[in-house]
Amino acid sequence: MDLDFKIILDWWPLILDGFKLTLVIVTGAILLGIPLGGLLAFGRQSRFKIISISATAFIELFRNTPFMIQVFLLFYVLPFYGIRIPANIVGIIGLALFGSVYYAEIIRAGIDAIPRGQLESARSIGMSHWQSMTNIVLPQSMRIILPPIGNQTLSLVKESSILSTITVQELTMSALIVQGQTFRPFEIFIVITLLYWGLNELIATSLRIYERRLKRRSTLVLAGTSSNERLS
Amino acid sequence: MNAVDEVQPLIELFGIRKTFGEIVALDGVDLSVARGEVVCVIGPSGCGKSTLLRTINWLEVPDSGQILLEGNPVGTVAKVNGKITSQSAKDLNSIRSRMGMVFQQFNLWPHLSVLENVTRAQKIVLRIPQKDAELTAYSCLSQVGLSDKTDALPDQLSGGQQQRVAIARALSMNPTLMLMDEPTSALDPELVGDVLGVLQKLAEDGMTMIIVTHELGFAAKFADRILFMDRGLIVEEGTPQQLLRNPETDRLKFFLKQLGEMNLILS
Repeated sequence: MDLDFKIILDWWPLILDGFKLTLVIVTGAILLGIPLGGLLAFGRQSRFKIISISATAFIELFRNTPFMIQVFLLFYVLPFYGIRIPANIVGIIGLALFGSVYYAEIIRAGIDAIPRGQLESARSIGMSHWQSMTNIVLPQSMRIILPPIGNQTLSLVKESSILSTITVQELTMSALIVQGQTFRPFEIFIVITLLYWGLNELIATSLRIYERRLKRRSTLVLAGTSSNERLS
Repeated sequence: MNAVDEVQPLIELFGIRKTFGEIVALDGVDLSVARGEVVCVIGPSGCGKSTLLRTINWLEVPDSGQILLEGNPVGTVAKVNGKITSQSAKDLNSIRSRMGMVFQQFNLWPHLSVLENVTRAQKIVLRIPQKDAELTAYSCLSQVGLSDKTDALPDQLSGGQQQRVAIARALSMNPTLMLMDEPTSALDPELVGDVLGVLQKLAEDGMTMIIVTHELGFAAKFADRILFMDRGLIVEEGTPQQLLRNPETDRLKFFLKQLGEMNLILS
């Protein structure tokens, strides 16, 4: 089969718009999803039953149902109850909600991994719970949290293609349009594959560099919390 | 010690009771420690001595009882109508900042340098400006003989050095009381001396301290009073002379005999 990449040049503006929208949606989903994940992680550990049960229920619900169904519910079912949200916004919110429950589990695991004595020494010296978390526990959790946060983010980029099913004109939807107009699926799908791949490779590489920098400062740190005697 | 201090002890515990499920860790402990007093708490493992210390700092919340630091309630407040309510988080944090706690496992913050370990709480709890906090930190670190280690990360230090940084961190808050939970138990024998030296200096400077310890030698030398705890109660208390030379209760006699035999084996 002959490949004719000239059609890519012809349709480039449309592809580029799709790529940009994918970037916007994923960025929005990360910026909303990670803080929401943090809230859920804290909510789950709240001493108020109502908060911890709600957070847990929310996490279980979104973690155990298909993303496509969640998006359908938001986009096709909510309007029946008078809630009409534009597709692009549904895309960002849907992806953020979906991502947040995974982020929540990652953040919780990262917090749990820090020895209890760290929180106790912070509280005993007079720090509030919030101060102890932001000054002492979370900075140490970062090293543990970052790699899986990166993985989850890569997966959000990929999941965003599902938003094409609710008329969001992101990268995958652009490709479907080009295919429909040109009847040439191969060229366009090869190109968007490369675009998705390139984007994720970029995210993965920058995270790897950041992780390495973080590690350089703290190679000694985590290894040593249990070993007491190491003469300098 | 002047008359006022004798009237008002620095810290008072009334009927502190703490259970973990079926286990009674503290069975109604009363204790009063005067300003400048060094009190060592000894007893078999599981006797409740660590729980006692952690309760004073409200790291463990007692089931009942009342704690007063310089007459101010810790953790719970008795209302005029006799009801007991929990203290506001703000008040609890502020009263905690006046008690320096030193842990068996040091619990230094590994992601912060020695200097940051000793300045962070000053800055965010006491709201002391960076410059002043650093000055205090330098003075506290030189007190424990580590002024040359300010830039090191905790894990680049030996256990003994880490524990001394932990003591400096507690001192930097200018506490009225130091609580030490087996401060030398996690150390290699040759490093114990450095930490005990620091404690000795603190004792001589008049710092009020409650120290849970296995170092009977240190207790004998520097404690004003030794408490022997067993099964959640203070069974016997007195000066080191009374307690270690002339124990009254069988339980203390047995405890000392066991330790004595251990020392014989070790020596």
